[in-house]
Amino acid sequence: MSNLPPPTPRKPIDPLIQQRVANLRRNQSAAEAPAPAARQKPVGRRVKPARASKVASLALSAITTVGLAGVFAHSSQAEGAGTLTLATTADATAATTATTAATAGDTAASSTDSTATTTATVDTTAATTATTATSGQIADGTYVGQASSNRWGTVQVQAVYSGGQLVDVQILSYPDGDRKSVQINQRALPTLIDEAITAQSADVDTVSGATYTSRSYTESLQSAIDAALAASGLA
Amino acid sequence: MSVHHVEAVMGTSISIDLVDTHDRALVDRLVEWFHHVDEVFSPYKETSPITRIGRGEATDEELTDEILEVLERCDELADDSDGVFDVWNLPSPNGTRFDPCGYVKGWSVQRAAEMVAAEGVRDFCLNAGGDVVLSGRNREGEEWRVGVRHPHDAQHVALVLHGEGPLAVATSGTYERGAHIVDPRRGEAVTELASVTVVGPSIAEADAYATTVFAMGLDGLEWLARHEGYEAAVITHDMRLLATPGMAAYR
Repeated sequence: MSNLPPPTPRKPIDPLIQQRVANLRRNQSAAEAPAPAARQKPVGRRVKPARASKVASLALSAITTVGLAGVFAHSSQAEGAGTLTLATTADATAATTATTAATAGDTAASSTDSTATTTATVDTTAATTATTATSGQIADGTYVGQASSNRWGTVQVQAVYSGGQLVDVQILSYPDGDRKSVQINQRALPTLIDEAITAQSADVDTVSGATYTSRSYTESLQSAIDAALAASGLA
Repeated sequence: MSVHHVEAVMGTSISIDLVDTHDRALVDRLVEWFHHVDEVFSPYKETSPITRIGRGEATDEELTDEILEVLERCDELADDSDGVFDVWNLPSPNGTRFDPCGYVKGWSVQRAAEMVAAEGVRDFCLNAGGDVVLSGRNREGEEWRVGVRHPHDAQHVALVLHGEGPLAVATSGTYERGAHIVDPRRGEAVTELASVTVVGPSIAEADAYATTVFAMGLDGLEWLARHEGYEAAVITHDMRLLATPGMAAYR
């Protein structure tokens, strides 16, 4: 599709969108020239206020988003493929997409434990003003992150480094009294149901979860439905 | 008195099953709606508003109410999930980092369900590539029965949920053993979850939540439990079932 319309004069757009677009451009240039300094995230934006071990979820945010891309990919394949493509094939493609993206280096994510640790370190550095550029290693000490607010309240953590490694994350502020926490307390946490799941051919009205999504499949299914309705005197 | 139609659109297959009506015109409107959504929100189309927004080319006129509604909700979901669900940080088919598909499909089905209900149709089922909205009862006048796809076998279901509508059911999974989604906390691939099914009042939310829980792994169940009215069932790769307590009502 190269027949793009003639360029239209740019008009001012919504400030929210402008900010988004600015972020987007930053991300793009970061991807083109992946210098570590270009990877700084919005300060404190994604600190996850859970167990201390979860600090690396800063990095997880990036990688799971890549994973999401794979998940999304199969729900938005280019239409009109015209060939019979089973969902499992599409899913395999999606998984491959995720893998490729994860290793392409345009995100902070990585596939090894050591690099993942590094990634978390970089993110935490971005959220503090640690002067480590010359030494290449985080100086030992405690670094306080900026307070980050979401709809539930304010979250603030501090990170403790020793030997260049992140050794602890301490929660300074967490909205304990918020609605979220109340709901968690009121509801039992998910439990393992003592039950093995097996494949079954049950009598169901419909199926949740990606099944077959090609045009051919759809047309075939529609004709089968039409035939069934006709045979049942419902058409 | 019923009408059943399947349409190939939005890169998937959408099944429209209206039980207590014979309103073909309504089906036509729904089909038109899904094609409209495809035109506006597809990141595959070079000139779609979504592609142009991703490239920073969109003008004010292109930012329609429906687009702004989707963008706003996506922002809320990003906040709610601490950035796990972030449509502004995804490799998009159009080369940008903006791809709202993960929300748009469920949202469009929810809108469609509202269109059907507004016509006074009580019993219906919409299924967009596995995202299911149920209302009322099935053709036999019984509760709807929804199979959850078996993660390792597309020909079978692993779980059957049933209930009277309004009810939404969304399932997220890679259906591939040993998916290469790496959890940096452990440095290993997230293989524990084969699929995540979320049940709740809105398919727009259920779909986004299922995707988010899947990406979060088992910790995601705890996150999901914070959302009133939504329940989750998780199938692990070793074929065990985990669920939030309220899921028992649908089994």
